[in-house]
Amino acid sequence: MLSSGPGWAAPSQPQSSLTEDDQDIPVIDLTSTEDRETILAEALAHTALLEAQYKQPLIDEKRTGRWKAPLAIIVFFLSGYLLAFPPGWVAGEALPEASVSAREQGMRAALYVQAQQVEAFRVRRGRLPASMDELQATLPGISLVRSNNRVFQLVTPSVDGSQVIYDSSRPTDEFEAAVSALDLPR
Amino acid sequence: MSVRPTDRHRAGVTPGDVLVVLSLLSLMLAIIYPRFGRTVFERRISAIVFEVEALRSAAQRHFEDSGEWPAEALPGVTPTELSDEPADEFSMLGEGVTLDWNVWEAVRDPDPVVEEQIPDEENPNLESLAQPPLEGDDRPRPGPTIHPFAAITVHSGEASILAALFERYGGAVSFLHDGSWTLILAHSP
Repeated sequence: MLSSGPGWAAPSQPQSSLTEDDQDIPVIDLTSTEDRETILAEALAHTALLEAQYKQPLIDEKRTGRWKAPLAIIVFFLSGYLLAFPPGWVAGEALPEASVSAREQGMRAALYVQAQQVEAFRVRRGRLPASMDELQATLPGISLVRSNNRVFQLVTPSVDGSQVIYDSSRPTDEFEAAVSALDLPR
Repeated sequence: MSVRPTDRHRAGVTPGDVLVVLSLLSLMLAIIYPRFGRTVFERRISAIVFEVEALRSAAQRHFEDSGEWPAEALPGVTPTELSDEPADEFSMLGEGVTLDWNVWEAVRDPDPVVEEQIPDEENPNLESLAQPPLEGDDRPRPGPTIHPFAAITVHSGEASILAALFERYGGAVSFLHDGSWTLILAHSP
């Protein structure tokens, strides 16, 4: 310390009284050009060494990254399979689908409803309609066949490709049963 | 402070990391999507049922007020008698479905005519649709009468929608036929 008192330096203290340690004197003498070039070369070499270390991939990193691409490919394929062919635990409950019996019941109900329109026409006009065009209400996919002036058949294609036929001259219990709401009193 | 090579390499995201994350996302999507589709389907069915029930309620209110069903309308067209219902009450057109209001007829015959007794050209002696009175019964026999009944038909190209409606309402009051599902409303008493 240069001050004589505690915490205060003497303003009149000459600077020449600094010791050698207090002065920032370079350890290495760089006065010569050769020394400076030597030091610069060492610094550049050190930097180049560090750069080379940075560019070198880590051994651990290489090992851990090796499984990523195959894993991703496997998971991608698994995802595609699940989307295309979802198993039960993925798809959950399947969308409803009408059974064959329900569709056949529907055909009979439709035939019965259509037969009621024909019968209503007969009651109102006293004759059978010449064709479906004469009826006010027609259901799609049903054709009318007249056997004679009083008997008719209604035909619609069945599920298995055959035909379901409603014959007005035969008991219609199975057709009436197809739609309980139309189980009219007789 | 110097940066160690290991820190420098761990700081970034490699293409392998991106691939893994994307594949896991696709796996989650593949698992969730089917259940999401089922949920959407259930919501669609609920919406259709809501429309059907709203149309049925409006038609039954009209029937109770006037004694008649609203007149038949084209598919997707609101019956004229129900056109003054609030616009948000029901819609005849839904997502992938078309509602169709039908008025059909049923014949009630208290004593069905035996087929052979119906007059036609081959049996000119039978002159009337009405059956002859029973022996000793001089009262005229009532003939068959026509009673209108209503039905709501839902047309859709998706068989699963029609099947779901059939499942919900049952085969006693509804039936499937030719790309449509029909709900029969209670006929007039």
